[in-house]
Amino acid sequence: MSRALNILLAVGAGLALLALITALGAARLPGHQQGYTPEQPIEFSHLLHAGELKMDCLYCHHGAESSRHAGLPAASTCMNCHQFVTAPIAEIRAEDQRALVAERPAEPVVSTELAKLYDALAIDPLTGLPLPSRDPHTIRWEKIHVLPDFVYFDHRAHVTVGIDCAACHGPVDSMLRVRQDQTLTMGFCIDCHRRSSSEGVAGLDVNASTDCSTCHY
Amino acid sequence: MKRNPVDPTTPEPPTRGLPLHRRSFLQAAGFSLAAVATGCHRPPPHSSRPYLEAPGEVVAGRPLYYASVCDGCSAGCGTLVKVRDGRPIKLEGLDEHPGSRGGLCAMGQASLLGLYDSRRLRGPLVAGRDATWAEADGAIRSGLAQARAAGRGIRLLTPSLHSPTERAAAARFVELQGAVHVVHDPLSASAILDAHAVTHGRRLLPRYRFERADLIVGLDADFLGTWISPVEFAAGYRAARRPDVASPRPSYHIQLEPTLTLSGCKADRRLTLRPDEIPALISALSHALAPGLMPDRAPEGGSLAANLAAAVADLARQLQQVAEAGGHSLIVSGSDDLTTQVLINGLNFHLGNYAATVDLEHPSLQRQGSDVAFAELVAELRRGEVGALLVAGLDPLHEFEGAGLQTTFEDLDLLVSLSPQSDATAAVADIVCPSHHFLESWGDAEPVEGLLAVRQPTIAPLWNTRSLRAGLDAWSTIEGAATVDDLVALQAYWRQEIHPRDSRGMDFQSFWDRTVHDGVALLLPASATTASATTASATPAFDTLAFATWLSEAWRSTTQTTAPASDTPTDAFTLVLYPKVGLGEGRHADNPWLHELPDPISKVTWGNYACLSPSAAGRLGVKDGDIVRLRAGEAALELPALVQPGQHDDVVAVAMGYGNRRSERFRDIGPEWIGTSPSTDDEGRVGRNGARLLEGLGRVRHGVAVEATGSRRELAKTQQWERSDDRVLVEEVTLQALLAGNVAAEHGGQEHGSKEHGGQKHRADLYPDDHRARDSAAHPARKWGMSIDLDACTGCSACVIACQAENNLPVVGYDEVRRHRDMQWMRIDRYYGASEGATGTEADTLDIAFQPMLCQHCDQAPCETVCPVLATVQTEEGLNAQAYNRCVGTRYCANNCPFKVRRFNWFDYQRDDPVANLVLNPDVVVRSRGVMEKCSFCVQRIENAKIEARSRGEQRVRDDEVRSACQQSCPAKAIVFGDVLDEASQVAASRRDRRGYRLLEELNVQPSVDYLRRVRRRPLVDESAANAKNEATDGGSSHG
Repeated sequence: MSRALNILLAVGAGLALLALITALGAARLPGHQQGYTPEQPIEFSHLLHAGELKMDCLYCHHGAESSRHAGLPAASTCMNCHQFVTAPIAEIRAEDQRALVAERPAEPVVSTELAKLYDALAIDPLTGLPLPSRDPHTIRWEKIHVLPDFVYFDHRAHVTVGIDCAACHGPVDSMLRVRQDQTLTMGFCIDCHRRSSSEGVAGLDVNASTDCSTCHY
Repeated sequence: MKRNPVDPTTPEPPTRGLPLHRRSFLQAAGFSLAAVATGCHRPPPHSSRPYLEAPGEVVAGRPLYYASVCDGCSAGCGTLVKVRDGRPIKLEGLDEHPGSRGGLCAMGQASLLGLYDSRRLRGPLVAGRDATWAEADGAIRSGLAQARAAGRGIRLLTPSLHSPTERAAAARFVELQGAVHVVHDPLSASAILDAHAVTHGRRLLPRYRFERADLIVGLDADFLGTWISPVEFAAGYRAARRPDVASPRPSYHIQLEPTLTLSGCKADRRLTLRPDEIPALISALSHALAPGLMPDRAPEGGSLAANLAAAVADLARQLQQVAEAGGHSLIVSGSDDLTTQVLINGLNFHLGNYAATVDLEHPSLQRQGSDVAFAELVAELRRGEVGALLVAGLDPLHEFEGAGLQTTFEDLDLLVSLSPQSDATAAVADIVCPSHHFLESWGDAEPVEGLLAVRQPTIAPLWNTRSLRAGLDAWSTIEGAATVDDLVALQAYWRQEIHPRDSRGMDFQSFWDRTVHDGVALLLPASATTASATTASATPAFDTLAFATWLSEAWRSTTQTTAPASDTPTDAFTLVLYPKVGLGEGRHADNPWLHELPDPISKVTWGNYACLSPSAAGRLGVKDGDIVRLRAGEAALELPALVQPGQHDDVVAVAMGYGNRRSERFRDIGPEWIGTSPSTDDEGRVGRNGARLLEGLGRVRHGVAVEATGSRRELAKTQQWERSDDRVLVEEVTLQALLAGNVAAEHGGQEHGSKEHGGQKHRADLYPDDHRARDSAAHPARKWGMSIDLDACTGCSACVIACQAENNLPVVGYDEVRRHRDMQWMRIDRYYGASEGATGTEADTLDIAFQPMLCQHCDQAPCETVCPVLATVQTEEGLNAQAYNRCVGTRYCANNCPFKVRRFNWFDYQRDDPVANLVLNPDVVVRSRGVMEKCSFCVQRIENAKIEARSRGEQRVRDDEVRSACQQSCPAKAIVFGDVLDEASQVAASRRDRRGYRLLEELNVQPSVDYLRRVRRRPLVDESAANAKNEATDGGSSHG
């Protein structure tokens, strides 16, 4: 075999190895999406709502107590507050200030992010009345915590025994945009199940089964 | 010289090692590397779309249950619809329903699939083109006006309407349009209704109370399978025959029938006869039993076969003794012969069965059709007297394919079909107004007088369809009148007509809310409220004089016309069209679940066949799958033969409802690969329509010639062994022995080794004694187990469909079933055996046993030890779990399973219909190719119940909280599931039953499924004598 071909093969093998290392560095195991922080249709801040305002997670994600899915709140849930609050307080104060300076009545302020909510509902943000000229449309949120189809995770089972939401979802109350905090791999689940069975949860004994059929059926 | 494509004399030079060159290897390696590198990217983004305005009760992922009425047939069973995230995904029985008592048959459960049928008509059609409702209604109104102007009749043709609101709408339509409403049932009980008009002065169908009968005589009436209201009857039948109560009733069941039916399989004594022998038999029985009741003039003595004459004497003796002992009997017949039914009324009256087992106080409305009226309609059509015909819920062109209705339909000014499918009638109709699926609309039902139910919609109509009520109202009002919403119309009717029948003193709103919630309300019969003012008793009484007068008149006319012509050749057969369990009369011919549901007796899927008795088949020289030609007059039909033990030698039986236009869709069902044969036959449909051979409107034709053709079409059977040969799988005990506490002695001598249940027994055990570490102490919480009562099981296959719906089982098609790759987790094994002690022909002594077979969840499971990847393992609660995502598809487990209950996904089965996929249960994985699967004991229900219990702060799961899908649907309540460690649970109680045994105990696999022995009952008469004689020798019977 010619020397040139040997060199060519060696270089090719080197390049392939390099490509492999790069690929392995970038790639994750299938299903492993730790750190996933997608852009959302509305720049909703958990830092503000859960962190500063200390709203309970279950206020919006009430399914976590009674269902497999925690669920996303209906737009009408947002409207419980946002029929009154149309913009951050700072923006409203700034407008008040400007109005005071210009000696005119303060104009109502609607933040650009909340405008998307009102648009989805097809209502006038200032009067709260429906706008007949527009069609309501659903908001397409990006799902972050996605488990494979062959896993059945049940929020109810975990919330009712007292597992903290942050155990899987991380410090959501400090996230401006929600990111997947944990790996959510089977190892992650099993570790916690074993720990909970031996140490208990919130001071109570639990039997967190590690049988396959607990999650796979 | 022309060279052969492959010349064996010059073989190719052998290649060394892999037939792969270095270059191809490098190419492949590079490609794999690239594939691995790119394949690890994130999965495509998922999005969630929450509601804008959340409906109060809806929580994503949490099912809601709505009480409703099943409309799979006209029995009107109560159902509980499971709705998950806005989609109905499962029909279950409604426990509180006094008729169906929590059961729901295979047909009813499978009717859910019709909702998600993407080939339903999506809007009205006028002359075959899409139209608006206004256009369709306008065309219908002008068509009706045209018919009236031409002096031709308007006819509305429907099956029995058990909805009072629909009946009222039909009555309004009839009145305003001057129409005639013809009610026709493909599975007719017309003769029974007409017989009551003769003997009781009112045309009504009694409600049969099997639960009150000590002696049941079934004459060609498959009340456990397909006759009138099988779920209700099966529940009642079981109630009369429970052996596990303090004092079991010595109930006895005699069945006389031409073909083998489920009722015949369960009968204690079964006799075969030709359909034309029934009138003579009943006449002889009447003369023997009630001579005083009969008119003097008797018909000429019919030619009753010797065995039937003996049977008559035996029947008469038994019926007489039951009546003398103060017990109740029940004689039912599916015969369409009026004289026979009149005589049966006389017999039931003579035996004191009216008011006991034959309930006229609350008559059934499940069958109202009149064969006479339908025959009259056909005659009118032939004479061209009908101008407009509106057909709802029927497909007469398919049902009477051989009767030549097609040409008479061409003369109509207007033919309207309300079929939701493009069936044979809709295909030629001028206008098609598709009806809702029953889960889409408000409605009501009164299957039995006084038993009222509201049907709740569980989903908004998927397509542009309309209810029958709305249609009839639209055509009976003046043009332009606003159509009334279904709910408004229903409430208006209920306020006016139904609410006054309630005796609980509620105001209408509370009454309505209560009925909608409960799904059923017990009210006064409509007849009672109107009749109570005038007469003391609303229940019509038997009129002895009318009975005698009518009979003598009837017999005078028959003796004049003489018996049916006997010039047919002696080797001719009598053709019987029978309804198959699941497919019935063919109403659900577009339902793949029901096509793949094995017939409980023949175990054949996909298509019909000509059933021949073993001796008839031997005479013709045919075996299973040989195509035979059936000829009757001009008509001929080719079907594969099936050798059916227990059938009369002179009868050839063909399942009705096949060869339907709507089954053309199944041409491509199932995976596609080398040598696939389609599920449809060469006519493009599933099976063939036996109605082609009929000349009249009946279901029987005499003088049919059968001949072998020499060609074959293999039958797709799910069971290859008809008998259990030398090992006893279905064990039995006689009722007498059971009462004496002597279970073990009854079945001795036929098994391998000692099988004393629960006692000490020798097992060959390779494991050390401490191997069974998971006995009691290791898993203190629970141990799931099941108990199946083989005495209760009727083989109706409701559990098979329940499992299919619950666990997302695929439909694989004819070709895969033929290759034994059927996917149902629950199968019902059927074993033929011979009854010991019974005498007669082979067909008369045939004994049939059913055995539901599912994963036995063995404690020492052979499948677990051979799995190389631990995909199937024992859980702490005694389940044999299957982790699909871990399975690599070696199939070792299936090979090592002694019960053969594991199913392998040879393909990714079709899931490409987005509408049909809406039926999938989101709580169960859809398995992919290369994965083994099997019964999981509905682990998703177990896990859900455990979590619910924990949410309530309880450690124990309540006994009634976990019910497997098969258990829930069983009409006879043969299946019990639960925690065997809970002493108070039903399954623990069932385990303590003396009849319990486990299968293949000699293998020491320790199944979690217990079977309860079948109970063999002896005739009620001469009990002491029979006891004395048989006690020493009788060993029950064997299926061997």
